[in-house]
Amino acid sequence: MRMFDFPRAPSDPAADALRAELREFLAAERANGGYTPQADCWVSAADPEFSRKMGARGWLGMTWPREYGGRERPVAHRFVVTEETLAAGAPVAAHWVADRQTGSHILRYGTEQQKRDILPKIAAGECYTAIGMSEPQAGSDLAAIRTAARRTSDGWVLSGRKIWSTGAHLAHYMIVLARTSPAEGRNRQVGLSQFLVDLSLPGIDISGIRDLGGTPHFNETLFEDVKLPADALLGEEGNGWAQCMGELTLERSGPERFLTSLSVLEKAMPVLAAHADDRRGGEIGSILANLRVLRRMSLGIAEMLERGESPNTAAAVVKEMGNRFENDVIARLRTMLSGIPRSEWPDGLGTLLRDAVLHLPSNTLRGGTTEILRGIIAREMGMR
Amino acid sequence: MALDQDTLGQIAQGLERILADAPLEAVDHASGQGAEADAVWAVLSQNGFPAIAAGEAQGGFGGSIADAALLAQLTARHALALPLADTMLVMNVLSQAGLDLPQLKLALADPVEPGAHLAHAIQAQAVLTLAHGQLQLAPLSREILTVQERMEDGAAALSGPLPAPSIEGPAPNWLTPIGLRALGALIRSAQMAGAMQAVLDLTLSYTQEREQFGRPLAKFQAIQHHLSDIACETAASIAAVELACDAIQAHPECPEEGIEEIAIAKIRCGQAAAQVAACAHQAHGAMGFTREYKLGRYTRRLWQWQDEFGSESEWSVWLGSRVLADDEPALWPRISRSV
Repeated sequence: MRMFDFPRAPSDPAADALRAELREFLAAERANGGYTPQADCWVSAADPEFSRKMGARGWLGMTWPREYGGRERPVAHRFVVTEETLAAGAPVAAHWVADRQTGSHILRYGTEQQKRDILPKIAAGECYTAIGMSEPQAGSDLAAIRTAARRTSDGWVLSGRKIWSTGAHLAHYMIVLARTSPAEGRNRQVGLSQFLVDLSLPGIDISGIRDLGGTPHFNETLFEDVKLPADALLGEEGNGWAQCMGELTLERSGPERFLTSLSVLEKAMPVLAAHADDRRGGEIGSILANLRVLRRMSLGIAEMLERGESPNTAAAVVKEMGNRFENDVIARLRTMLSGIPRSEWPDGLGTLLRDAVLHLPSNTLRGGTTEILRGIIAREMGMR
Repeated sequence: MALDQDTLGQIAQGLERILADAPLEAVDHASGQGAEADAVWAVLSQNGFPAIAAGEAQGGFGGSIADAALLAQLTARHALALPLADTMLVMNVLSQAGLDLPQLKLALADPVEPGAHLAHAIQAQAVLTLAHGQLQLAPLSREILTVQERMEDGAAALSGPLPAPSIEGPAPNWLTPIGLRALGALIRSAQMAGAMQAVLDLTLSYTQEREQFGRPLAKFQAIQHHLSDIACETAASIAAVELACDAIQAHPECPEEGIEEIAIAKIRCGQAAAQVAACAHQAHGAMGFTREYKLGRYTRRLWQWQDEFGSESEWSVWLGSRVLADDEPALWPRISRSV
């Protein structure tokens, strides 16, 4: 079965050198007050200045062609950058979606003009994007979307509502999934198309939604008869569902699906070490084993992407296990901390832990719920 | 010392063919003893499998521990009730110590916990022990064994002292008790990963055939979720074993980093085994709880292998204590370490 094949990545001294560079940069940024490590940093910690610094170092859009601002580096190198920034809790939220999926999607489906206009800006850490998939009445059942685009003499008119778009309030573009022709009976996956929407156009209203913990990172976006140019259609008309599934593979396949809680744990390590015993040692050993193996699998996915494959089931496997494990890590951390007086906790641990707890529910929801992912895996096994 | 990938692939296919044709269910019901078991062992021996991971100078085939682990995974997929995996391992160790290779079924005593039950004790003809830097291979006989009831594959406890060794010699310097235990743990991890693949196949076909409420069980979302969990845990186990094999292949003298990778595999496979067995039995209903139905041939071994050569809990404490004892304790350097 395809889901068991996580190919080995060849050893690569250039990746090791890159990792050393990243660690030096991140340590320096922390030391000079450039950032304070944060859990869930790829969603909650947006800092355009930090994104521009990363862009200047060539760490965004790394795999893209040089003519569009990329560095033509292997997927494994981008993996080093993403995992090192996540492990360090760095403020990468501003550019995360653009670098992870939107840019690659534009590279694959965009016009030459779009590639020349947008990709260099993303690679420079200056252009941010958001995801326009879910709607108020269409979450897991994505094919139930009602946002629609109608063809006009010189383009399209877009109307509808998108929700849960992380970072839309900072973003310059959103890839919007919209209906362009009716469903064919029960087959609702036909007649959908993707649009690359400039969020500065008239008729677009973005309003923030505060999450459980009070952070306003995601949004509802209203499109009221927004006039789009003809080339806003991304890829083929009617091919939106397939394109969207490809985008979701990029969205689901990275190490952010199991490293979100790591910075909290690392923060606690000194105090856990000071109170080391078999109980805490056992938890740490078990956590290390799980994360090490998840990372091995995630590296395998990077290798599949490098080969041009579309590892959608493998990505579902890693995300499903990774998300559940992340939540488990926080529960285990609370267990390990029990019995250690608060006065001994490192500064900031209490806040980090509280933030991580308040983010727990979203791990197993965003980018496809546990239930949806299990359905994908079951389909691969021929059960559906 | 290792086989190239093509050769290993051909050897694996050869083993697969032998196992697919052999009366393994009958051999299992006879606890790996008797005429049928002897016949299967004879075929495996004639084809050189016991010595596959021993050096060529001593009459082996030059395979590595990692090669042995891959083949052990296969034997477990077929629930082979014979000590092939452990014999391959012991032969490898004897060969690395420059000792003679006996043509026998072999067992390995846990060098860290000598009181642990001895896997394959009733089936094997000799057992390898490591104490005070000495490797000793001593003959096994029923008189010094107390059979462990309801254990698989002839596990037994030693009830008396072992007789004088037939083969002995100093262990290589790098082969510490924990290192040898780790090699055993690697083989058990690989076997667990293999058995889990068989459990997945069995559970998938059972739930696709069995109907309740007018449709196959596989069509119920709750059942699909059990199968998804089995598949995920199995995938993680396979990856964990690959990781440990890569480490031991890169550093055959089992340095502490290599032992850590094996610890990770044993922890992860042990955890997965519990979940896979639970989900598979839940999906199988009462049928899976019978002695006759074949699911138990795999799950009984999974539960046994979890504990052999260190349970997931023991290895977790060992691994985590090492992390916490570091000058600057942190997880990320270990999570992201290159093999």
